Amino acid sequence: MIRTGIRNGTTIALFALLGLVPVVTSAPYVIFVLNTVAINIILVLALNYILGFAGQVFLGTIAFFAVASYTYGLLFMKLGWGFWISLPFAIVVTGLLSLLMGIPTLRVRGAYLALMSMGFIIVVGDVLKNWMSFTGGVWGIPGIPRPVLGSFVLVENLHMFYLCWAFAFGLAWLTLLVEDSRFGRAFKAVRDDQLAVEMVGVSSTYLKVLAFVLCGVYTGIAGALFASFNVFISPEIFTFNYNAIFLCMLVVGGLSSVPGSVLGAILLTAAIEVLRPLKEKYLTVFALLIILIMLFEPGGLVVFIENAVQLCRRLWGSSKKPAPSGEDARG
Amino acid sequence: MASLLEVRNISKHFGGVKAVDGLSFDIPQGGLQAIIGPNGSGKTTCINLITGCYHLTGGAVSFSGQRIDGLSRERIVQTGLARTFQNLRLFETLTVLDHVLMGQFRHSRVDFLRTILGTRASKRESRDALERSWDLLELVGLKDKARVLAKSLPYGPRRLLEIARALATRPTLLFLDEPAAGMSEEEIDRVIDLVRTIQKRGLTILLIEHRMRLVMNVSEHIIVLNYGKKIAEGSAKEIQENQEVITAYLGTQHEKLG
Repeated sequence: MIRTGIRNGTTIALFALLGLVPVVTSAPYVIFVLNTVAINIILVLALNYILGFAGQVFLGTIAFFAVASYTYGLLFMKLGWGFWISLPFAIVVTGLLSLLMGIPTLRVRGAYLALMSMGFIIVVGDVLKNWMSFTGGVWGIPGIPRPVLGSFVLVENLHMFYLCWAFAFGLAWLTLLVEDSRFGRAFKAVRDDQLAVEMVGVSSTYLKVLAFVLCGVYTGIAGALFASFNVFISPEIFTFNYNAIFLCMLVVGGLSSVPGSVLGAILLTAAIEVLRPLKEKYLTVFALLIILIMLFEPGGLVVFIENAVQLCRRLWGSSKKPAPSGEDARG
Repeated sequence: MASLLEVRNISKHFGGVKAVDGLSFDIPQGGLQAIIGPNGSGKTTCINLITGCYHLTGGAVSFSGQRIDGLSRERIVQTGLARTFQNLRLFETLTVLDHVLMGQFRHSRVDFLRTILGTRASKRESRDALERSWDLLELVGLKDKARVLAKSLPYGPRRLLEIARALATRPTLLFLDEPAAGMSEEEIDRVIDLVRTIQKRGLTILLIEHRMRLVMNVSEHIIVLNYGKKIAEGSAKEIQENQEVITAYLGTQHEKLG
């Protein structure tokens, strides 16, 4: 059983480390990658709701991400709405889309759901490519302005990073609150045994759709942040490969674990940069990584950290037991 | 006396196999009835039909005067039915305590946002749920195992946890599907005690069981199934003397071939 204290501590420590990187180095390249890390964290947390907590093999989050980015970009460019108005709209649109998608798709399970979700990616990609007059087709939307805080424009990537970091941290914390609530417990119950959930009088479809909508909301935020950070969006960005990367991040970091999602996003985003010379072949390395993880620690890399922390505590001879009531404080 | 559960002429056919075939029975309020029968006689199928796990091929089921056949599974349970599973369906990655909390999920009234924000109402609600959970774990004797993951429980306690989770939904009618299967004599004594205690609290129980010691000990009324049909019904004594039941269980003595 993963102790709540260690889980929360690891999450905070990872975000603290991430937030301190710009203090050590402010190389433009590093700052650029850090932005991507923060946005990827949000995307992996989103996927974790469906794939990790609720255990549904839905692999179409990249489509939600694309829709969110485009919603944000189009509202900003066509209607001139600022960040703080376009962001909630991007969230609402993606949330509604996930609700619409969730109700029919969640009637199927396992491989069928996985296939449907891939179809969803293709449909969204084709719409973005071919609806020239609205989405700009393959040329995408260039020149999306940066957000404004009061009178301060976040032109610098460093400032943008702290905005993304704050959102990622806030959403990670929110995920922990959900995990400890009765809803987090119910998501996991659906993953373990759907029929048994129904036999305690709870609709498993309701829970799955709820996990879906949460995923949509998180992805909506990530999409808006991405569009404003990257300044340019096009259908080329939202590919199957990018989608596969979230999946790797989640599995390698730790499925169904918040610190695991964060760790996976940090490590693999860094790994992509290191493996740049391999071009597209870096995915082979990721595939190998997934196989190794599945063989040796299906709980993900985060388990090693948690075990190490527990071992340190024991070596320190601390007799303090973690407060047992912490995890039940919410319903 | 009005029946709590009325089962009328229900059937379930799997292709050509008639697992349950035109079965009717009543369960009165507050009683403890048992369904017995040889392997494959349709006992568990019968529970699966009533609780909506399988769709009926034909027939009707009423609970507290309300038709429940055709409702979704969760709606059926929400009318006040609860069950355990013969082949154990626990939430493997959840703790024992989580199971009883999950059993109470449907009684929570505080919505998602308020729960996550931790409003006063949601805190009160979860405190109450936790309190009831401890009571239930005490009742089934799993209080000291509350923080243990379900997958690391031994067999006997798993069965008890099934019962605790079902009770957590606060049912008026409880189906126990072979609660003593695979248990030691000692553990069966515990189940007998538990069943009696639950019944005293005013629950109506329908017991499906193989272990005759348990059935004959606690049930007031027994229904015997064979090949998906009711072949006898009555008190424990009547059933024990019923020729057709003896035949179903032990077979008939055929004339020796000369």
